[in-house]
Amino acid sequence: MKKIPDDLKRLGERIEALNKKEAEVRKDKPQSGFAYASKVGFRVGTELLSGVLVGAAMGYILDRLLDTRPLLLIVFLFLGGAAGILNVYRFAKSEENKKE
Amino acid sequence: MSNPMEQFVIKPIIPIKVGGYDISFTNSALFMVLAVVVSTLLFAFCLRRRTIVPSVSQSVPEAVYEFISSLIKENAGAEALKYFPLIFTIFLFVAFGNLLGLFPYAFTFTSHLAAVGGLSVIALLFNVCIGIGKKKWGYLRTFLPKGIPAALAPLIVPIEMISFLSKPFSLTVRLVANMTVGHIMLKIIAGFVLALGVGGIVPIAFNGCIIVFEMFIALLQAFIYTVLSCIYLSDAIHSH
Repeated sequence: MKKIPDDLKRLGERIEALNKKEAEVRKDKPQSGFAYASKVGFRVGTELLSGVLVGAAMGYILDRLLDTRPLLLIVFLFLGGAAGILNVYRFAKSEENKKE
Repeated sequence: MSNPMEQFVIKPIIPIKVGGYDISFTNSALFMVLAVVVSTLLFAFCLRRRTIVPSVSQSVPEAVYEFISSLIKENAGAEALKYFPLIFTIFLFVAFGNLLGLFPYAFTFTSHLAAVGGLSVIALLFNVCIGIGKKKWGYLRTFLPKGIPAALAPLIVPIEMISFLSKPFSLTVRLVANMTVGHIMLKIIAGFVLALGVGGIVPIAFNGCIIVFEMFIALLQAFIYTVLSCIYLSDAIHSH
């Protein structure tokens, strides 16, 4: 392995020192509440909606395959709603873990 | 005045038909190719002279590289780093797709459910492949977590399946909705410029601000999309 020249080593030390300083400055700055809230809100909305939509699509396709219209569509709509809530619940739990 | 939705119409450039299927080379395909070519050329140009202490142009790709690698480490752990090429490619593809779409007369392929949905399904299949490779049949446990009574299985399994399948859908909708909304807004406000005559200076100034904001959104959405595909990866690697 080649020996690292002195000036490069000094540069590395300087970068490290500055990184430490940056981390300290960033720690004091709180995250913007509005940006965070709108991000989470949009995420929760799509999670909830996509569960219902995917459930409805699955029910519709199964109905066409098995010729049981509209029974499975109704059942899967409710299951999709449950899956949407499950998605949101898991998301909320992971957000909680992140905060701690 | 032109229709604000007209910009999302897919038009064939080179019509190709194989066995009744339309696989024409469209403007959407053209911009996907452009995203790949432009990002490759840009990186090749910036990295043409490689030194230990980076020059200004070299530091840009290096910053992107470091950014994505720290993203993967944070969201999926250090062992996920071997899938770095996939995540990096997804990020660049989406980011350049979003950014190229901001040019006048350009087409934004990330505003189409089919294009982004395809990308999400690839990420999902990748997750499934890693999971099956790791746990073989045990992978099916994903749909029936341990400790659930057998009587509840007929209820839980479909719910878990829908929840699993809805993940790529919500991932896709978030990116597509953001890109579509931004582009429609730009077009509508641009429509006011002609209608207002001299007063049109106001919507022009407003559009200028929105364009800058859209650039920020383009990168932010690429970032969010990448974070979520990282989370898929971490699910596949760490789930028990």
